[in-house]
Amino acid sequence: MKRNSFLGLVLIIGLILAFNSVAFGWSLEEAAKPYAGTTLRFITETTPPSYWIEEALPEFEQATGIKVIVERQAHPHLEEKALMDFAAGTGIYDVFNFDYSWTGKYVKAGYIVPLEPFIDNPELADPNNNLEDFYPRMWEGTMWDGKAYGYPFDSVIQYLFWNKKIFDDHGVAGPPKTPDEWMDSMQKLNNPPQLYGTGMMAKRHLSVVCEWLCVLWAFQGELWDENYQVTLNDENGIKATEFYKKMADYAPPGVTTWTWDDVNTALQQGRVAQSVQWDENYGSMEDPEESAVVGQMRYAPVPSYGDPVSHYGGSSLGIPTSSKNKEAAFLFIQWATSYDVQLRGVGKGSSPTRRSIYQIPELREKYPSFVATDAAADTTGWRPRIPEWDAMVEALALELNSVIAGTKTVEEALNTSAKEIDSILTEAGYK
Amino acid sequence: MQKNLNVFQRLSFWVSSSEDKFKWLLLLPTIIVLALITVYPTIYALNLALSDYNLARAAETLKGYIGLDNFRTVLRNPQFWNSLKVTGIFTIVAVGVEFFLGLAIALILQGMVTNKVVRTLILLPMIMAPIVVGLAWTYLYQSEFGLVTYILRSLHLMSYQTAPLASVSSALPAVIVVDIWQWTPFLIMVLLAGLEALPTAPYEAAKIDKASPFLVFRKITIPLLRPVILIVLVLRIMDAIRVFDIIYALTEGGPASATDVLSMFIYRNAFYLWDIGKASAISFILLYIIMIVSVILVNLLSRVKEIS
Repeated sequence: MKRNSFLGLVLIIGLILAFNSVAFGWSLEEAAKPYAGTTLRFITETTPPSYWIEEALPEFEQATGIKVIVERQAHPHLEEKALMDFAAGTGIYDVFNFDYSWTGKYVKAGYIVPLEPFIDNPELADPNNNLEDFYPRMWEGTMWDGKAYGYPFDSVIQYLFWNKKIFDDHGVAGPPKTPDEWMDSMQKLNNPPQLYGTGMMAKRHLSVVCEWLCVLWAFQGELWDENYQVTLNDENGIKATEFYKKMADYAPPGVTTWTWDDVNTALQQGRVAQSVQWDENYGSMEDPEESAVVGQMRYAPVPSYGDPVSHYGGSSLGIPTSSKNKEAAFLFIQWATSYDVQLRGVGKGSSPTRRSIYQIPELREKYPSFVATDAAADTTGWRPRIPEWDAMVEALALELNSVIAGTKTVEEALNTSAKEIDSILTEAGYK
Repeated sequence: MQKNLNVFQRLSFWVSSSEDKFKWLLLLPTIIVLALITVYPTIYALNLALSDYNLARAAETLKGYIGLDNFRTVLRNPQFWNSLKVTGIFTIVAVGVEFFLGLAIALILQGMVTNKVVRTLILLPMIMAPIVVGLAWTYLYQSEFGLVTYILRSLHLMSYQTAPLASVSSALPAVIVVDIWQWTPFLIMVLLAGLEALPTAPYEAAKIDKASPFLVFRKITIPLLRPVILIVLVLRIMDAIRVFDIIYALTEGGPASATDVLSMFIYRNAFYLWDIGKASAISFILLYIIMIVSVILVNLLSRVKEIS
């Protein structure tokens, strides 16, 4: 018996080792051998993680012999370039950084491919790549009809950036927890033209819609209910938008022309005491070359009348249907979103999408945003992911910007938006 | 008859006929290039304007040929009429001011001995790419540190609560100022060249008759200069109606719809909504507007020529 069980144990250990040797045997170098000499074109947004990937790229190129050309574009132009290529089927781009709210649009148009065939291919997929480590919300953002179309690349959660030093210097307790406290702090900290109570991204642009959505959710409002009945102009919607309009009284002149870029500069220069902003910019607050507020910035959920509010705006790396180098593209995506690459880029632009990185105590200590992102990641609100969202953004951006610019009343703007969104939903057959 | 022709006559027949063919042969490359870069895209765009074509939708969900539906939806859209209005105001004010400024400066410069350096300096804004001009002025108009904003505030012409590009009432004038800054030199140069080429005889006659400078200007300079004036106006109006670069760089059509010119409206339909069909339809409307305006102006021009 003993001998038998001993033999059994040896056999089991042997089997485990054998399997492990297969597992341990996987290496990027080996996997990439058939694709050496390939050139990939990576189209991405001008965001911090893209800069980090560009910096780290030589090590991938050296290990694989695959050359990668990175093409960075601002948010709207990214789609311009990508859609032209995808619609024409030219196959210029091999790796595509896509916003989670675009997933439906690109999948339905047949422009991106599901990753399962690659994930299930043992020659390509790194067995040590723990996909469970991606935040579930971010993973879900890449999914459509039960299939994954990308690996989460850029965290991008929108919440409140508040400057602790400015709050302390003015004797204002922070962070504000409710919209009342929030408005109160804006009022107390507002001392123009030296300092403004808040920044705003109120340009006629996606930015005004994103920021307003945070406020809408804070007031327990929603764009529409489960039956696609538009509710954005209900009582909560009106209160939220009145609040959003009042914020402009404590914001710098010119916020009707500001996007997230302008908000970031104002936060870095300490011109505004607080602002709703995307977490991927945490590194730029701590960069002594650019920032006058090193060590001062803190992060909190958007003050809310209900549960804490934050807004997921992240993006993933996917493979266009028209790409002629899909396997090599998958290897690049796997590398760019790997634990190791995300971790080494912390502070250099990387905006990790893996929970384990946010839970490293030293990083939480050094980067206060890590605590906030980790807390927010499971509870973030979503923008709609339906293909019709672009047209709704257009309508909302114009109306909300008109409210801040003072050409429309809150009711007028919300009613017009509601009517337009309702007709888009009806036309698309949702109701 | 043929046989009676002498050698030279025969030769001249062949030469002239081959000259004729040769003329066409020389023109052929130009005609082919023109067909490729203007005729073909125009026909293609017309096809798009009459189709349901959206880049962001799968090919099988598109309806294909839909007749004039795109035009109908566009004409029913209040944003289109707003864009038309903004474009109209932009064109009339910008070209109007540019013309009067250009003419005044050209008259001042006419008598002066201007050297090459001065002329080059005057031309500088015109040489710059409009997108660069737009970006440079973005900084001048910046809401907190912009030089123009600072000057306006120092002169109490603008409050600290607003900025040139941020308010609905000042955004369009601010954009027009940039266009004036960039294109007045063009009018100065063309009008100056026109002034310098005017015949001297009528002026000498006027001098003998002791006509006042104003009368000379009104009765001699303007009528003689009219062809030149009309040509620069045609060029500038056509350009101003399809202005895009500086608006895109400065405001992207905002705040609200204050600077939303037709080109911006087309751009938004094409590259924010991916509705290439509708964008092409609006482009055709813009094309017709420009054609009608230029035909009117060119007709005026030919009438002026007949009179003179």
